[in-house]
Formats: sequence, structure tokens, C-alpha cells
Amino acid sequence: MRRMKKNFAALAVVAMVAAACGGGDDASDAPADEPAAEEEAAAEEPAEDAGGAASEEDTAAAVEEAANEDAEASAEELPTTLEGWQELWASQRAAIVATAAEEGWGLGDDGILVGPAGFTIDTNECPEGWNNDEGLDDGVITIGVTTATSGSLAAYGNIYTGLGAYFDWINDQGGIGGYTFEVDVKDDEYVATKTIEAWAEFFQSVKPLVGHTLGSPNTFSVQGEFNSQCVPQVMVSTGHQAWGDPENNPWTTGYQLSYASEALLWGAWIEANTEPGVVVAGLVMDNDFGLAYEQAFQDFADNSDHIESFEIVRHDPAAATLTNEVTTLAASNPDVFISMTAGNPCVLAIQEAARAGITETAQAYFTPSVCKSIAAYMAPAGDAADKWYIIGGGVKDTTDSKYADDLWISYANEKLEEFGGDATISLQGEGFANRGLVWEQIFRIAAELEGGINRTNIMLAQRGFAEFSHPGLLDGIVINMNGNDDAYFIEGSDISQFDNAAQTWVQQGGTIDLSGLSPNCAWVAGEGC
Amino acid sequence: MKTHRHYSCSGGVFVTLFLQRILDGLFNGSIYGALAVAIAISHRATGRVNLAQGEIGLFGGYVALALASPAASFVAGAALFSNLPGHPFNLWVSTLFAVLVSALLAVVLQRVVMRDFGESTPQRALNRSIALLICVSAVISSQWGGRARVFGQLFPSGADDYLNVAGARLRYTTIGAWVVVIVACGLVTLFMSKTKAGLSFRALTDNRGSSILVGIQPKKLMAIGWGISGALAALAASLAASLSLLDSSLMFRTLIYALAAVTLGGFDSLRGAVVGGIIVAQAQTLVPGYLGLPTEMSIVAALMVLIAVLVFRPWGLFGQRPVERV
Amino acid sequence: MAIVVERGSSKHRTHMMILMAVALAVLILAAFILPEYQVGRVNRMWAMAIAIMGLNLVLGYGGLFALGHSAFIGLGAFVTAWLVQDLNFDYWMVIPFSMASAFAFGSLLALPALRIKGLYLVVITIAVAVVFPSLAKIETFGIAEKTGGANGRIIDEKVIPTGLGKALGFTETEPARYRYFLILAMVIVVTFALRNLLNSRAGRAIIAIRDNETGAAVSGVNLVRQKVFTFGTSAALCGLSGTILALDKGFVAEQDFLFPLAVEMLVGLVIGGVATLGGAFIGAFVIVFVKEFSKNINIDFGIFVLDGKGPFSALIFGVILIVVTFFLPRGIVGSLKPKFMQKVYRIDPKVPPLPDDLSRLS
Repeated sequence: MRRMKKNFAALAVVAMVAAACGGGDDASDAPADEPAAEEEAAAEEPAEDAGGAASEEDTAAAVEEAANEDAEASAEELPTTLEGWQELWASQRAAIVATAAEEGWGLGDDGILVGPAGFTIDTNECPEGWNNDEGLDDGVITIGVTTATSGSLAAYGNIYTGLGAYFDWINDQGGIGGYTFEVDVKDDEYVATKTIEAWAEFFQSVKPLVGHTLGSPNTFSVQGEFNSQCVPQVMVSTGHQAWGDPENNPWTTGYQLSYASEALLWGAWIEANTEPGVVVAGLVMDNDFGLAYEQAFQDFADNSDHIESFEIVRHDPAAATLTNEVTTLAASNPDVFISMTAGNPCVLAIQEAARAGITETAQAYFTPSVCKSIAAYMAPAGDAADKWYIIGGGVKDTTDSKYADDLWISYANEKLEEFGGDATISLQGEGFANRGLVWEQIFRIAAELEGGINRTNIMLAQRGFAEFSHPGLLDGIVINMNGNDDAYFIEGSDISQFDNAAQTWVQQGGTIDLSGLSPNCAWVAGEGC
Repeated sequence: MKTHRHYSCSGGVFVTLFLQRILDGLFNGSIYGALAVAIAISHRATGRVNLAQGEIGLFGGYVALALASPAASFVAGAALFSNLPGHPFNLWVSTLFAVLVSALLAVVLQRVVMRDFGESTPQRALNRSIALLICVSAVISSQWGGRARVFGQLFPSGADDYLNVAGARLRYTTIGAWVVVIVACGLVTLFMSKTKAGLSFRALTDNRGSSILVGIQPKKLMAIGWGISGALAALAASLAASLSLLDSSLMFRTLIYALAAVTLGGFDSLRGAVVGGIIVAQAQTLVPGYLGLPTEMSIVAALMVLIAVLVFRPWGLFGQRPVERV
Repeated sequence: MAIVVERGSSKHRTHMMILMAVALAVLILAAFILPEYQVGRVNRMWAMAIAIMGLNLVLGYGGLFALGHSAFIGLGAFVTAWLVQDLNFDYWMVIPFSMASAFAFGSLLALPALRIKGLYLVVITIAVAVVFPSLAKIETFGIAEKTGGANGRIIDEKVIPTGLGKALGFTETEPARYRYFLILAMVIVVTFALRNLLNSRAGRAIIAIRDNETGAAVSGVNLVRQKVFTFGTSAALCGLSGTILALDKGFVAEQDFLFPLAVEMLVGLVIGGVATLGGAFIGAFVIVFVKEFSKNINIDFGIFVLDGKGPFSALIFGVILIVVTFFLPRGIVGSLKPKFMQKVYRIDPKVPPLPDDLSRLS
């Protein structure tokens, strides 16, 4: 026994020493290949504009422009009372409805839907028995939702608690266009197989007018079905860029700032604010969120002369601690640290980065937009949360104390509580104050279009959503779509830094405006846009 | 532009990094070790592995949270406990109390649900413990789910709370966690060697047949075994939560690593469980760092070490080969 | 009052035929009466039944504590996606490949099983199931591309009725009904194959190893070969299950094959009945349908609301398992069948005929 132990020990030490100094890099990045690769990269054309995100040049320009602005200055004259907001929204909706009439948007007798900027759907290709007014005869509009309400991602179900409360409030006010609303949520446990089954049930028995899905794999799994069944798949909860594809998947729309855009914004910030030769460290969650961020940033870094190296460590999504991962990253002495994770690891990443000394030595450290919630992620991280940057996606965190007096946020939180929600849970606030408001506008616009609320008008309302002042988004964030020209609602963002003492996000400079600059993304699995 | 999945070697950094990794692993080792000892003790008492061990401990962690949180915090149970004078309690007091609660819960579950007093098959006991795992986890999720909570600091765990060891950081939390684990194990060992109940416990597990003849009550001792396990599991959960967040999925992975640890150490050996915990945690940090294994597959590291050990010693490092009659 | 028949008698045979006919009628009718989306769930149920049969083989009949079979289902599904989508295989051609690759990996897993027993093996198989989703996302060898990585992968070619299928009345708009019969055929084949395996020498060897390993070895069973075979076959069945899932849903993603799936399979097996043939079906029914039903529960008790959405559906699951282990320790089929066979319908062994020449008895 003793001899075996000794042998083991000796073997282990030798193995570690031998492996340590050579076992580092991936085989695919063997040093011998590097010079050639770098030359190749320099000689190549700059990469084609990836779909789903603006080009690097446009992004860099927008970041620079925003940096020169003042956070306050970008605010236009905005209403100061709720009535004022209601009037503003009504006028913005009316403008869209007027444009629709002028341009002749609508479903023609030939079955072709004509929309803005070349947007078109041929409803003759819809299945037999397809009904533009599905389920409207009983006066109730059903919104079908699949999300995870159990399991480790159950927290996301809170978005729909918020959204459901919002529609309860709408119903309480008399509904829209004579209809009341019901949000029907099915638990798919974040498993795509169950999403497919849930939607088969929805399409065949419940027959909701519109639908909504959460999660990239889940949304992918039913996107084809939504589009062949001609049912709107509205503002899906995933930041993947594939939802901006009005030509191939016209019925599907996304909502939030895409992961690809966010990654490019990190890149643009780095180029604008650091010296060349930067070492960037990325802590990546090994699932659809994290890998999407990693891929997009990787593409940026590959083409960037400014970034010397991009060190990546992926972590198990269910890991209880991230100490080992962060230690490995800290050893590369990064100049910039980017957390590309979601959920509880948002907090862990911040804490561990501080404990490993990264926050002392690095020039800047970023946490992703999905980790913005102060109540859920920044406050629990304690002092370590100070000075973290975020590409925030332009959304106001409803649990941020600085919005306690914000007209819309405080009002929305009040209403959320009134209709059964919990305003201390920021995801509920997200569903209510952020998304609920936009859902309402879509339905109101559709109600004013010729034909009233029906599936094609809901698509027109989204695709032609020309201008909307959203008080739940930061001033200057543009939310719009324009048919085949602009297939993404939100393409702008704030850059903010966390002030731990004040427990609030402090915006740095103006908002970055990239609206209309992201090309559409005809996603092909394995290849990209 | 180079992309590295891991760093590349460079002299002085190497030593510091190596040390740092070992120190990182030490903290995890204390948690896996504590939970592994819990599993080992209940195995000694009943001859079965309790897969619900992690969740029972987690329940205790949440009770501690409820005791330490003011009623206004919306933590389930906080409002109930606020009727007690002195609420919200100090975190240490809450944790100790929660340890007792976990012990009690474990005893109740063993008596009422497991009801395994030696006569059922290992299969059945495994199934019941899986059922317990599912149920306890579901109750925890429904009561305290929704969002992760800050547990609070049992030891100072800020960015500056460490000792400098040749450039690497030995955190106070690591030292504190090990002190707690050693004290707890020490108490358990004292119990087993000095008290009558403890000695009976050892007799039962060493030689079941004879000890029953001598008048030792297996049922009572099994309950004691589960109670001690519950207490240790609660400690493990609290220690883990104090470094990060208390969340309903905190113990999922921890349980698997602890199972690997107790398997490595030999199912009945307390010493083996602790050593196993240390080894598994070190494997988790060193193997991905030095053998090019992706960190998201760190469980493979534990697996590799486990298989390597079991191939040479199928009964674990400190385990004993069970006597089998053909 | 129990019905008593003699095994092999014409009365017995008639009863069996009636039973088969009724069962077949129910199965066929179900495909047409149930709504299409429920048929989709039934298809998943069949897939899980085959997977649970695989688990049953290694755990119930083989006595080897393996808890990681979700990985093999995933493997089968990914192989299917890769072969159909990238290499343009026909679905039928994929089946032997997916089963063979699952068999190969299952056999690999048998190697630790040779030296490592009981609880030690559980831990290793758990670790395999836990790490499988991460394996599906690694980029070397282009694995992430083949499996779809974190976003999953659509299989463009769907199984829809053509030619003969259409002639029989199946339509493209209701493909689940068509797939139901293809899948059912596979289920029937697998069930009979398994039953024959268990009755064969190999099957008895497997059971012998479970009951008494040393004794089996002494009796001439080649432990190594048998264990490898058991593990491999059980993995192959799970691989087939994965292919069926990929075939039916047209989408594969690593999130569908996580460790909790392996736990679900075990729970289903236990509830159905370990080491029984029928147990796999009951178990599959429980994990597919009981889970879905429980999500729709929403009872208001006044002081609290039992809402199936959320963690309570898992709680209901766990409670059923506990109840079964208490009152039906051998699972539903395992505990009820003997009682049924005793009280309601008894099959007596065949009475051997008396010899004609009785003079030798004296």
C-alpha cells in the first residue's frame, strides 16, 4: 500500500509538471500555426457583416458618439404626467395607423399581406382551415406561452407572472378593441421536446391567437411550426439573432438586444477605451446564453488588432462555485474581464472575480445584460459589485432604487402589486413595465388597423412599429422595426457602471443608437447567419 | 490574435497558480468532505446510501435563512419565526439551530418514510431515497424557490479577507470551513468513542448480528445515524451558501461530488470520506487546469480519479471488503 | 372466484388470443381517437418504454446499478440527427447505426462495472449522465456542429406518410398518427425480442449474475462477456429510444438529455415494476402522462393553492413513488400481477399425462 501510494504520488507530480508547461493550449491553436493564421487574418477582407448585429464600424462609431454625449442630454421633451404619456402613445399609434392606410398595408383579397419595406406574407400558403381571427369569437384573446416554470430555470417564469398581471390590468380597464386577454402559460421545463408537444397541443386544442416562447433551443424547435401554421410568434424571450429573419420566418419576432450586438458593444468599448494589446478574459456559461456571447465576441476578437488574446473558461451551468474557473482566468492577468453567464453565476462571477484580485488589476470588468437586476444579482454580490460595467440593453431595472420616483416605473410597480405580482422580483417588473407595455401597444395598433385585431394585423403592428417612446427603457433607446429593413426591436443600449454605495446603475455617456443597422439574419444551423 | 482555452506556462506564475488551485480546492474539499461524512455515517448506520442527503441539508440551510432574516424579507418561515423573541437571530445561532432542525428532519424521514430497518433490499432503499430527494427538493423549491437568496457570511468573505501564502490567497472562509468540519468530525468521533450510544453505534455497524444479541437496538441507532448525517449535511449546505448564494439547486452538484468522495474513501470510513472530499476537490481544480480537460466537464475529473482509485482498490481507499457467502 | 386455466390448453390459448385482439384493437383505435397532439405524447411514451426496458435489462434483470442511461438516449438522438441531416441517411438506415454506437459506448461503461460493484457503479454512471450534455457541446471533431450544440438542431426531413402510408389513409397534416404505427411496430419487436432474450441461455446467465455472481461464475458463465453484453444491449435500447424521439419530434437538443431524465426513467421503472416486462409501459405512462396531467392541477384549498405548475408537479411525482414503494414494493406490475394471477385469473402448470402402463408404479 505504501509503495503504491508513493508511486502514485511520484507519477502524479511528474505528470502534472510535464503537462503543465505544454498541456495548455488547444491542439487547434498550436503555436506553429499562429503566425500563419495572423497573416491570413490580416490579408482577408474584413468579415462580412454578420446578421443580428450592426457592423463593427457602425458599432464603433455609435459607441464613440454616445461617449461624447451626456447621459441627460439625449432626453427629448418627454411627458411628465401619465396622461401626457397616454396622449403621446396614442399619437404615435395613430401615426402608424395612418402610415398603414397611406401605404396600403394589409391583407389583400388575393391573400397576400403587404407590409412596410417589402414585408410580405402569402397567406395562401397557410394551412387549410387557417383563420386570421382564430379564437376571437368568444371575445377573449388567448396568448399562448411556453416557458420553464419548474427546474433550475424556474425564475424566468416570473416574467409571465408580470405579463399576466399586466393583462389583468388591461382587462380591468375594459380590454382592447372589445376583447379581454388571457395569458395561458405551459411549463416546458426548458426541454425542447416538451416545447414541441406543448405547442402541438396549443395549435390543435387551445388555438391561441398568438404565441410566445422562451429559450433559444425551445424557440428554434417550434419556429418552423409557427411559420407554417401562420401563427405570430411574438417577441420571443431570447437574445439570439436568428429571430430577425422576416423573409424566411416572417411570423417570428424577437425583442431584446441580441447577444451578438452586446458582444460587439463590448468589443467596441474595449477598442475605444483601452490601449492596444489587451488581454480579455471571458467566463462563459456552457449553454445557449454563454456560448452565443462567446461566439460573437470570438468573431470580433479574431478580426481585431487591438485585442491580443481572448482567454476563455467555460463553466458547468449547474456549478455551485466558480472559484476554480476564475482562478484560471486570473492567472492570465486580464486587462478586461467579461462575465458571459446568467442566473446565479452572475453573482458568483462578480464575487469570485473580486476575490481573485481581478477587480484590482483589470482595467474594466463587464457583467452581461441578463445579469442587470440589482435586487437579484448586484445587491447580493456585496461590495464586490462596485464599478462593474454593463451593456445594459437599455432596460430600466424596476428594482433600482433610483427609479422609485420614476413616473412610469413606480406606477407600474404599484399596478403590478395591485394585480397580484411582487415588485421586488425584477423579472416580474420586466414582464410588466417593460414588455407588457409593448404588447399593449401592438394590440392597440392592430385594433385600429383595418380588420381589427387579427393575426396579420398583429404582424403589421410589429413590423411597422415605427416610433414609440417607452418610459421603461432608458431615454434615447429606440424601439422600432421596419419590415424587411429593420427586423429587430431594440438595437441600442446604455453603457452603465454600477455604483455600489448608491446601489444603482450610472449611465456612462449617452445611449448607443444602432437602430436599423443590424442586417437580417437568415440563420442556418452550423453556419450562422 | 491568439485564443487560449487555458493559460500557457510561465515560471513564477506557475508556482503561485499551482498553490492557488490547491487552496481553491481546499474550500470545496471541506464541503464535499462534510457531506461525504454525512453519507458515510448514514451508510454505517443503515447499510444504505441516502441520496436525499444534500436536500435534507439544504432544508436546514433555508431554515437558518428564515431564522436570520427579518419578517419583511419575504423568506418563507421568517414571518413565522418572527414570533420568537430575539428574531432575527445571529447567523451562527441560526445555523446551529438549523443543524438541529435538519437532524430532526432526518430522523423523522428515516422513521416515517425510509422505514428501512435492515429487511428491505438495497434497491428499495435506493428508490425511497430517490423519492425523498424528489420530494424534499420540490418542497424546498415551492417554499423558497423564486430566486436565490443571500445567506450571509459565516466567515469574512470579502475580496481582502485572505492570508497571503507565497503569492496565493488562502481565504478565511477556507480556514473557517475546515475548522468547522474538523470540530464537527471531532465531536462525532468523541460521540462514537465515549458515549454509550456512540459505542453501541460502532458495535452495530461492526458486527450487526452479535450486537443485536447483546441487546443493542438497531432502530434507535439508525435514527441516531441519520440524525448526525442530517446535522452534518446542514453544515455543508450552510458553508456552501455562505460563500455564494442559497439556491434550491445548490446541492445538486455537491451531492454528486460528495458521492464520488465517499465512494473513493470507502463507504463506511469517516476518515475516508474526508480524504475523499479533499481528493475530489483537488481533482476538480487540478485536472482541468493541468491536463487540458475543459472546466465545464470538471465532473469528469472527479470521475477519472474515482475510477483510477477503484481500479486498484475496489472498496475505496479506506473501505473494507464485505464478506460474501456464496 | 378465480378463473383457472391450464397452461397450453385450448381454453388458455383462446383467452390469450382474445386478449391480444382486444389489446391490438385498443392500440389501433387509440391512434385515431386521441387528438393528434396526444398521439405525439404517446409516441414519446413508447420511446420511453423502450428506454426503460433497456434500463430494466441492466438494473432489474442484470442487477447492475446503472443510473446514467439518459446519455445513451441522447447519443442515439444525436447520431440520428447527424446521419439524417448531414449524411442524408434514411431513417430506417439510422437505426442500426444508432443502436450500434450506443452499444459500443454502453460496453465501454461495462468495463468499470467489471471491477466495481453496487453503489460504486451508481456513482460512476451518474457522473457519465451528468457530463454528457457538456460533451455534446465541445467543438473538437465538430461534435457541437453535429449535435447542434447549445441551440439544438432541426432535422429537416420529417417522417411523413408517403405512397403506401397515404393509401392507408394517413395524412401529412397528422404525421404523429402515422409515426405511431411505425413506432408501435418497433416497440412490439423489441418487447418480444427482450422476452426471448430473457428466456434464453444468455438471459438466464444475466439473471444468474444478478442473483449470485460467484455462483454464476462457478457455473460457467463468462462474467466479463455477459456484463459487457448486458450493458451494451441496454444502452442500444436507449439509443433506439433516442432515434425514435428524434424521428418523432424532428429536433434534438442537449437540454433534453440531462441527468434528471435518467432519474425519471428510474422512477418510472420502479413504479412500473423492476424486472417485469409490463413495468416499462406503466413506467413510461407515468413519466409522460402523469407528469403532464399534474401540471394542470390547480386546486384551491383555501389556505393554500396546490398549483401543478412549478415545483408541485415534481412533488406529486415523488409522492407517487413513495406510495408505490410502500404499498406496491415490487412496482405496480410486480406487486399486482401475482395477486391478479392468484385471485382473478390463474394459470396452472400443465399436468403431465399419466403413463399408460401403470404397472411400473408398484
